[in-house]
This record gives sequence, structure tokens and C-alpha cells, in this order.
Amino acid sequence: MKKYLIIWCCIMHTAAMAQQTTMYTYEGKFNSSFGRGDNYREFRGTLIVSGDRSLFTMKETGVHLPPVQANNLELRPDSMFTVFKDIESNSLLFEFSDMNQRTHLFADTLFPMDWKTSEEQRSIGGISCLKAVTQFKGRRYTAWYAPSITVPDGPWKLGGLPGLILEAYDDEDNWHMTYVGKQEVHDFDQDHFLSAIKNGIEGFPAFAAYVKKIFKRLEAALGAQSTANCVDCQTKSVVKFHSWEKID
Amino acid sequence: MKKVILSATVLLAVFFTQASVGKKTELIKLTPSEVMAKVVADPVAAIPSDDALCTVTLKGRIDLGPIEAEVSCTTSANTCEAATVSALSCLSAALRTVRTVIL
Repeated sequence: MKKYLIIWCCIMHTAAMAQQTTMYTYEGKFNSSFGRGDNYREFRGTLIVSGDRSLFTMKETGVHLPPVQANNLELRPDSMFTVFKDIESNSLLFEFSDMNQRTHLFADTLFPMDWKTSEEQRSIGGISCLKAVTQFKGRRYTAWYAPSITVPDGPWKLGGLPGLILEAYDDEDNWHMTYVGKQEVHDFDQDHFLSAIKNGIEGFPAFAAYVKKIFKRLEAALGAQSTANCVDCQTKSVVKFHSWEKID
Repeated sequence: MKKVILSATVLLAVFFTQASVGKKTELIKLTPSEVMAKVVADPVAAIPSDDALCTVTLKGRIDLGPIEAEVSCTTSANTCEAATVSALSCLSAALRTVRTVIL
């Protein structure tokens, strides 16, 4: 009888652990004029971890005043850098919101980063962290991870370290996320992502091709526009594209 | 002939929004959602040119978050006013084109 009770306790404990879902909260910033100027906005990031699966997203916080000397057409979604990871199936999906505000899912390699770890230490939120750096999609990132939290995950696409990344930023500090707290939450809706994985999903090259196609159409449309309202004028329009992740 | 280059992220809305409409910021609702086109005016004094050739550059940004398109319209004309109006027309057409793509 005692033996069965122990087995039952083990099963219940395992089941409880399996259902445990934790939301790690980050705060930080993103400069959408990366490499060209300052257009920083504050964001709150959440990384919801449930077993081998996680969902990261970041939403803008606070009031933002548009830059005074600019003409902006803001089509950015309210959630950015949204990434679903499933370590068990070695999958990573990320969202892209087009000019129509339609969301598209694409796959990318899970944790391809070649991290260079060091013994440098610092404390984040009272948790001891170690430093690691890597080069990823054209940018160099620094991560501070907590070996005491055995979750090999982190904000956005970053992860694969022996501990949860509690702080991450690029070398120019255009994107910066810092852990501020955690709480237990209900499980998040994974069906949307799991069905996408099941049905097959295109990878990063397809994403790059899709973005290029959109902007090529835009470029052609803008290039063809008339400036016939001024006979003596000579007008030239130029379109430049900037992507956070390097697109060849 | 002296060439005056006005980098005018600015002048743009000035003539239309501030002068004629009397508003500093014009918000154009694009979709029922939160998509907005923001045209922000900040008056900048045009540098007078004796010889009258004036080049104006207006820049606009189409912000998709981690991806951004930067549109610039550069216009040369006999007067700064004509150049500004034409560059503004170019940028407005660019924004209209984007709206057409969206809607």
C-alpha cells in the first residue's frame, strides 16, 4: 500500500510540474530607427514558459510622442518580436505583421547562436547571472543568464544557454530587455502555433523573400508616381529599407 | 547659381496643415484599427536664395516595427515654395500609395 502511495505521489508531482506555467516579465526599450537615429520606445516583454514550450512577446508601454521632424506612417503591430519556441520538436516560429496588419508565421532555426560564455558575473533582481555574447543575424548580442533557473530560453529568439536569459541587448543598445519579475499563470494558447507546425511552415528565407516582395512592389509604385503638378520641378523619390534582422 | 538645400522633414505639412488648416498635427485614419498616418509639422524658416534654385528633401517613414521603409522625395525648383509644394506632393502621393496597398 505504501509503495502505491509513493508512486501516486510521484505521478501527481510530475503532473503538477508538467502543468506549471511561469511568466517571466521583462522591461526595456527598442529603437525603431536603429542605426540611423533615436526613436526609442519603452516596452514590456513577457516570456511564458510551459514545459518545453514558450511564448515571448513585447508590447509598448507608456505614452509615445512621434518625432517632431518626421512624417511617419506607423503600421507597427501592438505586439512585436513575438516568438513561439518548442524545444521538444526543435521548432521556433516568429510573427511578422504586414502593412495590412495581417499576421504571418514563419519558422526559424531554434537557438543557432554560438554563445561565448565568460565568468563575468552580476546580479539581476537578486539572481546571480553569467555573461555570454553571440553574433546573430547581423548583430552582436550580450546576454546575462541565470544558471540557477534551468530554463534554456530567453527574450525573442535568444536562448540555448544553460539558464534563463534575464537580460539581453545588442551592442548598440537599440534593443534591451531586463528581467523584472515572474509569476505563475494559466497555460497560454498553443494550438495556433502547434497547428502551424503540424501543417508545415515556411522558413526564414521565405520570410526574407516575402519582405523583399512587399517592398519591391512599394518601390515600383512609388517610383511610378507623377509629379506633373510642377512643370519646372525635378523630383526624385528614393525608398530605403531597414530590417532589424539582416536580410541578404 | 546658389543652390539651397533644405532638408525638410519639416516644411512639409507646414504649408498645408498649419497655414491653411490651422492645425499642427493631422491624423488620417487608415483602417478601423489603430493604424494612423501621422503628418507632423514643424515650421522651419526657408533660406532665401537670390538665384532662385532651391532643392527640398522631405522624408517619411513607414514603420512596421522591426522593419522600416524610408521614403525621401527631393525636388528642385525655381523657388523654395514650388520645390516644397512639389516635394510635399510627392510624399503625399507616396503615403497615398501605401494606403492604397493597405486598403
